[in-house]
Amino acid sequence: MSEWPYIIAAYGVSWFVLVSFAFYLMARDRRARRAARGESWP
Amino acid sequence: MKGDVMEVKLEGESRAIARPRWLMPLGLIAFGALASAQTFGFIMSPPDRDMGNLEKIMYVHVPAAWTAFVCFFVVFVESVRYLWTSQERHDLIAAAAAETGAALTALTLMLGSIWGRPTWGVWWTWDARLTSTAVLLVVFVGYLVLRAFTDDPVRRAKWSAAIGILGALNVPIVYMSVQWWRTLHQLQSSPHTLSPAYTMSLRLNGIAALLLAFYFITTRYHVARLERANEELADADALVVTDVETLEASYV
Repeated sequence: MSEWPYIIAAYGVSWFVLVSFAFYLMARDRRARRAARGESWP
Repeated sequence: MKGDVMEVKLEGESRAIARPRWLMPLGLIAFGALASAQTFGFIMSPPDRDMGNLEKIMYVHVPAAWTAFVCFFVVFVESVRYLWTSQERHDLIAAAAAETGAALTALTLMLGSIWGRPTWGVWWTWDARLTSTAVLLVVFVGYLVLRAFTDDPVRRAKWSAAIGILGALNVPIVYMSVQWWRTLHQLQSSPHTLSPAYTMSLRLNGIAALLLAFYFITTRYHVARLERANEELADADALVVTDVETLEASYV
């Protein structure tokens, strides 16, 4: 079997995990800022 | 500190939580550096004699593992500093590094599994390196669960510091496991054990991953400070409500 599906999967998983983690941090930041403004509780 | 200042009102007083303006550009630069380093690795490194192009997985797997180790080293140092000084910021930095380290360890295991299937013929094996890494991940997932379920901030910080120190002590075991036991996993990949054809690409990817981890830890730390201020505000409100209830009860 070709090696390329594994290479593409490895890079795809890396970018998916790292970008998802960055978005998770941004979402958490937004929620904390909203709570600090009294718009909602965390 | 200059930056976006978030004001949290707390019992009549307000607390300014600043977030540096350079955080977002740093994130973009870190992701850009990662993409550039990976492109460099793809273009410049020749296929390996035995593995062929599968060696390119090294540029994501090894930097993820190195960076996770660095995160756990930060957890260790900041946990010791918290226990020494009782300053909350050390606890928050340790927690930020632990969360980043746990995500990177999970990524390391996933990438190792993807690499192992075509080279070893299995997705997973109870090899000393893989098992000790899985134990490391479980310990730090436990660390994060403990933090999520402990309300008292002082108790949370102390328990977290204890688990953080014990968990980080597992890192040398993970690192040395390939030498101490007979493992399917190869010896540690480093610029010293690699062909010079791969060294530069690995170094560049390592630096980019470190930059990204620094961005993650810093962002998470600033979010944690804000969440902690919100928590204090909620606690102060709860105290006021409890006082009113006590007062009402005393009239009955």
